[in-house]
Amino acid sequence: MLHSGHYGNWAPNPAVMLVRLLASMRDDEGRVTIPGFYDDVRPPTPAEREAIAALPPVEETLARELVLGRVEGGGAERLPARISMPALNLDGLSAGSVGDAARNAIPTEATAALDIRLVPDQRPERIREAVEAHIRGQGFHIVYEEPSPEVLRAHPRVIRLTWDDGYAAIRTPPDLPVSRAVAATAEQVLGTSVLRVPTLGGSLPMSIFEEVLGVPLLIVPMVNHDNNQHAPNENLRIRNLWDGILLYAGLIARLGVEWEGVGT
Amino acid sequence: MSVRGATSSPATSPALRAASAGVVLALAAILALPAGGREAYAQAAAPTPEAIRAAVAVHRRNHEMDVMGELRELLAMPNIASNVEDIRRNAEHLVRMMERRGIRARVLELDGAPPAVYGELTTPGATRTVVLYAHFDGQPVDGPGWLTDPWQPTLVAGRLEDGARIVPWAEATPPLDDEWRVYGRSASDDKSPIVAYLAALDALRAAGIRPSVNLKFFLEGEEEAGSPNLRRMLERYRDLLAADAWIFGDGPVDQSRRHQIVHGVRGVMGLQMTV
Repeated sequence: MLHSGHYGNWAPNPAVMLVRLLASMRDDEGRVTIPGFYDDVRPPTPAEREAIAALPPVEETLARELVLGRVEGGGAERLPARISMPALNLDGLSAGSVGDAARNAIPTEATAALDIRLVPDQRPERIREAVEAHIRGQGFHIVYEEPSPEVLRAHPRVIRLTWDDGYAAIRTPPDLPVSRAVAATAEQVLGTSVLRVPTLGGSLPMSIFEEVLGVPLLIVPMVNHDNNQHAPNENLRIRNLWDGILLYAGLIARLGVEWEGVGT
Repeated sequence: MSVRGATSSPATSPALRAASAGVVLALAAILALPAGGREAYAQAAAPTPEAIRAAVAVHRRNHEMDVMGELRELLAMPNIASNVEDIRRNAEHLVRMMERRGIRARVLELDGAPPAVYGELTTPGATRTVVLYAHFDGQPVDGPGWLTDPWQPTLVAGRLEDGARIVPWAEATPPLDDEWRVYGRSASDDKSPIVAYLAALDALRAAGIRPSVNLKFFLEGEEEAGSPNLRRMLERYRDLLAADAWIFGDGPVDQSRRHQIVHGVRGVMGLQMTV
């Protein structure tokens, strides 16, 4: 840490270097500005766009409940469309001190935590290459361990990266025969329409199933949304149990028949 | 782990055993059917949605507390993914649940990994095979805030957090109110879909309705730990798990309580940068 009066305007400021780098990675509307980042993005199919259009509008209510004065992308696209695209999220930022602990000092280092949400057919290793090429293009020397004084003296800008390699996305086409058969069967037995969600915004390692087994994968949930999953007081609503039994009974008893019906 | 003592579980009820015996008989009857061609099969196996709804309604009327008993028994078994011995106890219990129904079941072993569970039920004449997935491990329970013992499944007349009363199981008489809930770790994530798969099978069999597909079950034991051994597990048992599609009974329905079919998930990577 250096006295900001004695050295400010001479010693480089890691916090400023980091926020400038971050600002070079995405714009104010969520668009990732790393060259090549979108190269492998599979555009939504007409069936996926149709499925998104059929989802009930929740954006206005959500924005109000979440106290948002604006949404990224200008609101032209629905939430399900936005989460069908990749995202670069800044999750945490740390440098120096604020509030009562604030002092006139240039921080020694600055750290950011990010997550990158991928969509088909982006590959984690390709994204990692694109991100690192971009960081180098911004003038940084990349290291993966604590840099030695020699390394720091030898390079004007040094950045340490720690990757959690993660996994790829999956998206089963909603117009596949099995997708159509599952949806039709569910609607028949439940006696009501079901939502066809092209993708969750969240992540599960389902790509492992796709990569090893190469067959269509569909999530057919049954439990209540307010179940306190992962938290204390996890619970199951009785109605959801019996709707689930009905739903799975329908799939067991009719899916094969429906599947034949929709063709291959 | 302070709550590990509370593992007592309701004994399998005589009614459930009787139901299981009936199921085995029904299965024997199904297997005795001549294996016809696809057309004969399709004619025999086109139950109407009404017939399926009726089958489930009858099953609820006759066996609601048996289904609850099976759920309670499963939820009472601690299942934190990091405790391999607990995971193994769950896996062996699940194998027995499937075997009671004539499903060919086994524990899938893998060096250095918690076990998974496999089951298989073929239907003569069926041309497609579907794997039903769920996971039986759960999240840790060490955080504060539990109003009940997470390993003592508890019936509540509504939402406990809203002050709804606990209903002692001895006083619970069917039909249970649709808005009542069962509290306990993995009640929703993700043991209840397993109970639902098997109850669905029971309901159909009691009504004489055959599956329209060959069924396989893959029940994972380390999902909440991030599935570190999943790729090795799938590679090792790739042939066993061959199928035309997988259905994942996991995650919740929509916030509007409408059911949803989810076709994909986003991938994720994490990055920390220090300047």
